Amino acid sequence: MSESVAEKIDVKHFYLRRIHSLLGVFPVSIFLVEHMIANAFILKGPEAYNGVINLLRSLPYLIPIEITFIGLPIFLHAVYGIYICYTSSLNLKSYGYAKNWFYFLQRVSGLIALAFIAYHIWDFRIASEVFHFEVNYEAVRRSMRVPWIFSFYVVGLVATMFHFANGLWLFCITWGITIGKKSQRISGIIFSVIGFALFAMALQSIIVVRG
Amino acid sequence: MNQTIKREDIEIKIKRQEGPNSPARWETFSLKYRPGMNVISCLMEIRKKPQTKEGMKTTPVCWEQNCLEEVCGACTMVINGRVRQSCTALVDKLEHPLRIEPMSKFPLVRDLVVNRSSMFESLKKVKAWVPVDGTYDLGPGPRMSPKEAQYRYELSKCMTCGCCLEACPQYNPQSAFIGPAAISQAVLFNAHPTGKRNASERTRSLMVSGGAQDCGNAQNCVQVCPQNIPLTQSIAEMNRDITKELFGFLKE
Repeated sequence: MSESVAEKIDVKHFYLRRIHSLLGVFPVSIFLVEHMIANAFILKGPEAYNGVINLLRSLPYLIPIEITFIGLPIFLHAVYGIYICYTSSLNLKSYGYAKNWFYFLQRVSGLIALAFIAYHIWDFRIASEVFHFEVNYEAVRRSMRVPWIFSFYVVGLVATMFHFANGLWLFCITWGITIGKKSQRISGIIFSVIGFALFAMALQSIIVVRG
Repeated sequence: MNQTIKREDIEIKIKRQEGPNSPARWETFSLKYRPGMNVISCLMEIRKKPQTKEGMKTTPVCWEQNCLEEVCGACTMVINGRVRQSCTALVDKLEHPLRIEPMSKFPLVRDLVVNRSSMFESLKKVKAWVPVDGTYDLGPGPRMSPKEAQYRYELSKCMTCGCCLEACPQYNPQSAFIGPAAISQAVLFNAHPTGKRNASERTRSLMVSGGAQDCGNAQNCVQVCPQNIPLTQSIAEMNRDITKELFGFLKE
């Protein structure tokens, strides 16, 4: 076994893993926060929300920005994330500690979030281009009023926000920011609060938009 | 768990395997209870008369043991689904019937004996030593502050027993992850006043596939470590050194 491990050893892999960790925060998490703030304009009514959408859609260099700062980072993070799932194993039955559950949930939530994001991008970004319809308050309302889509969004948001909050906690350890037990506990509390807050914001937006 | 009071017989299920390529099987043994028994003394009892509960004759169970006081790590096995040293696994405190298996993350030798040499290979990989060749007198080394000494003492308690690797979900055949033990030892020698000189070498040895970055932070290692070594702290400590090493190019 030790020989096959030695064969596998190469420096490239180290960089890939660290890049995966970095991409999760810069830019994916940053974009997530921006996205939730933009969504929250739903609370200010259709005009305000449509105004934000139109502003974002009228940005210069929109497509390059979307690909460089959203599409590609999520794609690379996801591809490597799937590889991480493959290299993981489960032993919750013997070692049912909270952190071990989080280890499992980080992987499961990543996969659910990926499915959710893929559907979400199709529904609100690609389909509108293909079938030439406008994405606005009305379109979002129509989608969110479909019970299965709404349910899928709630599940997707739970997964995404867990992955986001726990991911930030992991990021701090992977980069050696939080080292000791105490600092990891404190960062855990901080990121839980941020995660719950962002989830509450997102949930409120999709509930309010249903009318 | 209120079976702590007097019991007549103890039932022990042991996973048996003649050799690395033989099929595994479970055998059940029944023993007379004696107060103060541990798993090792149960195995010794079975060795005296290797006969299953059903009365079938069998071979004595193979296992490893050495210090019998939880400081050598030789008798590590999976007891009731949890990895630990069998010398400190007291029959009175365990759930019955006892279920004893060899560790699953190491090549099996026979019955409860596994080959943990991969751990030694890992220590070599991270250069977990202070290189002094001893050809001439270097004089006294630099002094260590009591705080440093205390911190390093905790890490030095590692007995390479393998508990952390057995419990780590990221340490498995699909993954190249080196595991917590070796990372913590690299940290131990990086914190040594003389060992510091080679810190960069050790740190770089963990900037590879299977290095410290592959830790998934399930943090089972700290939960199962019989020596209570702050393994996750060591891993994060190494991650910080690696980050510094990573940004070292900015100095140039």
